[in-house]
Amino acid sequence: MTKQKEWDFINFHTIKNYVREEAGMKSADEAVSRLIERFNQSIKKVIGDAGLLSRKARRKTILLRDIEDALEENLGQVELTWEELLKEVLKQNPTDLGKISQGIRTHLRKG
Amino acid sequence: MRITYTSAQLRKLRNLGIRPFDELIHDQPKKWLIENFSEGATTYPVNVTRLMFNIIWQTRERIVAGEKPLLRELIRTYWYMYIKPTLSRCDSLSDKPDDQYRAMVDRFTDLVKTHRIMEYKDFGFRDVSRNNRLVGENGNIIIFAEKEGHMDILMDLNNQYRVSVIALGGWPSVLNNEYFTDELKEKVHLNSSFYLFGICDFDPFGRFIKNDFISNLERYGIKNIKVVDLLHPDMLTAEEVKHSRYRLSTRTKRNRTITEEWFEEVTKKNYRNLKHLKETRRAGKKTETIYYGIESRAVSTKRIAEKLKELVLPILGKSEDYLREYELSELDRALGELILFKIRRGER
Repeated sequence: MTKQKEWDFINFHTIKNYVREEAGMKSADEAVSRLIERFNQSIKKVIGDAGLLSRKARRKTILLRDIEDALEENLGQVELTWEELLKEVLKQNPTDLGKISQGIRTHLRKG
Repeated sequence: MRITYTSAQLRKLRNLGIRPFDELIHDQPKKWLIENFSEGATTYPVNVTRLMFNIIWQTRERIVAGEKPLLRELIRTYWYMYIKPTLSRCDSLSDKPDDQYRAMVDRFTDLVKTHRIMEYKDFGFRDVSRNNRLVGENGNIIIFAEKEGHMDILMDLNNQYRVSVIALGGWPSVLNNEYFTDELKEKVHLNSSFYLFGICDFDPFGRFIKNDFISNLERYGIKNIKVVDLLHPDMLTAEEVKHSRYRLSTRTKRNRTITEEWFEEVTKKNYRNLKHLKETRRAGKKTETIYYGIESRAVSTKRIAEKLKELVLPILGKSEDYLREYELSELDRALGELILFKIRRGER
């Protein structure tokens, strides 16, 4: 029987170096391994869910929206600060800005 | 001229059962057609879908390779010249040839829209609906109507504002939309902001038509689209809605599902008068839900023209920078209204 391939998405030494350089601390190998194991599981789960969403839409390509939906499902919605939100709004093109106004007015009609 | 294909194109062709033939398929005798196209055949001696795909693709290849001039014919003429006689020769013509004509049009749509491996202009088809569209100097503003009967008002609007107009005449034709986009390209860059104003029936079919038209424009490279529906229950008073509404059919399960999905979708728009388009009645021990739609002619031309004036004038002939400023100021106003709304409701 062939053993299922284990995927490592995160580099052990990158985390060790980050803790040393950014936090100015040492890190236990078993702590870093546990962190990696957990994130590997999450990444696999998010990719699996995104794959299901794209298959449901009869696609063979995982798109950004599949990943975003799967991320939101698994890791929760990203809460933006008002500065981040403003930055996102100002990035939009004229028609998308118009859609935001339309959306606000639709919401206001609810009364 | 030798035509080369990418591996992705070749894969698509293979999946559709399209392959090269040295012989002209539409000229071949019954025996040859059955020998080459009987695989997967069910109702007729040949697999009609595969035969259509192959005849269409062979015609296109010959035109693109310069072996044959552009057709300069209507798509209907193509049916009579290439497909119908071939089907007839191999005893595969239906008792209802019009159904097979529509199936052939669907095969064209598959190749153009679904698989994106060719375009109608490769054949040089003439467009029977060319009089139902006009592209104006302000090409990025498009007023579209579901019915050809609205062409008069569309032409007036084209004259008045130099905007683009198109009457879809029922289901949007991909061929018509391809040619429309080609004409748009001559006036405006397809990356620009496009503002679409729709005059469609307020019912499930009207929504299909609108969405299909938008999807066709996207297929031909128009990405930045804002759509404004000009026909909705709040364009009428409550009394007018009750007077002009018509009952939607929910007799079959499919009709009921389509209608319920449509109503769920339009409920998100929070129209005040939407409540007049759904009723619940008791029929014996059961309760029955009745849905209504609104015909696009229920709103007067005058009212549509006034609304358009209000919406179109601020964006007419403006640059992308101006449109951005305009939309930001609109957003500012909308946010102001939202703040007041939240304060009034005591939201924190």
